[in-house]
Amino acid sequence: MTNWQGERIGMVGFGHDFPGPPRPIGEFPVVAAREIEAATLRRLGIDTVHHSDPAESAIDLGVRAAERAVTDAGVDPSEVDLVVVSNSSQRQYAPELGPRLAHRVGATAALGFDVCGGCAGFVLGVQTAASMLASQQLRTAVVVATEQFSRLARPVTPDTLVAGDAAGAVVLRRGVEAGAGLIDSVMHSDGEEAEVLTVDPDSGYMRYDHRRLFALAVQTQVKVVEELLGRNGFSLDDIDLFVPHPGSNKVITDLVERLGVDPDKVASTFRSTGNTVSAMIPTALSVRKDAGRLSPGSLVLASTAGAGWFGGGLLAVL
Amino acid sequence: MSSFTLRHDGELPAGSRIAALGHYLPARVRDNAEIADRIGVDPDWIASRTGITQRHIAAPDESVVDMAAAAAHKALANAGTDPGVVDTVIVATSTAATTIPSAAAQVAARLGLSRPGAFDINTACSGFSTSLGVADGLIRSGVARNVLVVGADKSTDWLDLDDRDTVILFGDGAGAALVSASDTPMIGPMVWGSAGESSQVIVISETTKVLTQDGRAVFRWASNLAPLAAEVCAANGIEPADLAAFVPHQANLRIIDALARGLELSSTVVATDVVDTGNTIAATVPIALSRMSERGEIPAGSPVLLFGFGAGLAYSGQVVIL
Repeated sequence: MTNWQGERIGMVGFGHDFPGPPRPIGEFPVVAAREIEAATLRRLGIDTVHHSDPAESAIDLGVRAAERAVTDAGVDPSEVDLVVVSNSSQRQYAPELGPRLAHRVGATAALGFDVCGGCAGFVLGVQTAASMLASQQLRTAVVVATEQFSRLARPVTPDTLVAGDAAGAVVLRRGVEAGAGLIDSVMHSDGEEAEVLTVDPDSGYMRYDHRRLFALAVQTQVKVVEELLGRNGFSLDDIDLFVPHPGSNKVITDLVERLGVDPDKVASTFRSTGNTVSAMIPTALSVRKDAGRLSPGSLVLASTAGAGWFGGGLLAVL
Repeated sequence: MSSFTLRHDGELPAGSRIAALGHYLPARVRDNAEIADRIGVDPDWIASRTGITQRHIAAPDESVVDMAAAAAHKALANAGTDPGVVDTVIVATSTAATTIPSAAAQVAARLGLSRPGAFDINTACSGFSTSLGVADGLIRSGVARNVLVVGADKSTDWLDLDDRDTVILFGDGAGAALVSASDTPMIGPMVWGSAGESSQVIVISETTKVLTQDGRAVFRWASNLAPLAAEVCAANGIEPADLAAFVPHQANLRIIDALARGLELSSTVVATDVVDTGNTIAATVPIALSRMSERGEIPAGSPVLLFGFGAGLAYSGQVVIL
């Protein structure tokens, strides 16, 4: 059990970036080339996705999201101790994205590094940052999830309609007032399900077992939600905002139904961005903040699941 | 009745099998943006119409023989056997620089083979399936034991780069299979046919040396070939629903989808290689088969339908088990 309450680590700033204009999925080549019917398109639950410019990197998107989060938090970039970048779609080992991203946002004193974790990357990033803030008595971290998921979708396949690009960032600060901040976080992995979603090393395109992926995505998130609520003595009624990971529209609807969450409490950008991997949770929070719909003091529950196989979740008071 | 009996040495094998596959794609890639700029259309228009996003283009000094030899090398390397066992080379091509000498004899010489039988087959887009059927026949009749079957085409030598009906479709490449005698037949009977009365819908003009096609007529014909593909399955004793994979000629994604729909395939893996290699004429089927096999998309021991169709008009197909 990971309990952060004594550390008073608050989420004090949010930022996001959706590259380029929203692109209506009905205009994508696959729709005409494969004669996809309007009813099938509607069932995807997506109107538009964003695609970054071919010359843009995951760092470019991440820098824009991180800058907004740092500004939103009112933090000077030079005060930032950690920049944790979550990315699974452009994973590179040498050099990692973190140091360059930290440098470009002016976090010159920060340690910048990457975590992976598939769609659970943001939660893994927050948990890693929180652990380091607590154990090293640091004050400020920026967790940036930046993904160019469209590049993992094989051209002219339905995958191109679902995979979007986006970055989301959250500033974490240790020592906020009592009662606010992270309450708990959880991460699980299950290598037995590693083959459910893989990226072909030659082509660079994703492959997955559609049915198994759907079943696991729902099942894993139900488990995470029950675990976080149960061990912290909360029920779903206590939650003000639920931020799930919607791998597909059916994952959200099934999850909401199985948990019995009030749909009005669900925050997601899925309809306007498609699946943006680990950027899904921080972008949903940041978009809410921009719309003035993220009230201080509200209890937020986030759940996620993804390639690895990973499951993860966060419980926090804003 | 003749009073002479012609001798036939040795036992005849029960059949043949594809022992190994290999393919070669030229390094240079021509994407939709490059073509769209030249012919004045939107890149997405090309992808929407054809499903093709890019094609590989051979270098000016890279020939059909070069590509065929590269693919053959890979197939032999994948087979792990001594190339010396190859006794026959068949190259399916319609775009070689010369008709004499044959591409096959040159490929055989490049591979350092000693006195193999070598000849070309020109049935265009159905060339690989037809050559595979011929190889199977040669092996079953005891003429050959190890046949190298290559599909190789360099259509880009014969394209008008301003003709939007062709330039958006065609690319270059080669695919090869080593076909060997087998105790169990793993290559089923070929079913084939032609419609010479419609020969003018795809031609390389004698005078202009340019490939032209009546796209609508070809599309209409090709999209309605599912009953013939079903006939191939029937002749091979396989229900379409039992196919692990369907590898049709890669001309256009919409034709491929129409054929798959016509065969009522659901769980069968359907080759859509055309998306990143375009139409490489006789090379589409072996390139797709080789790439799918590399990616582990073709389970061993399961039926795979190969089906080629195109200029001639001609078609051919068979069920194979890898």
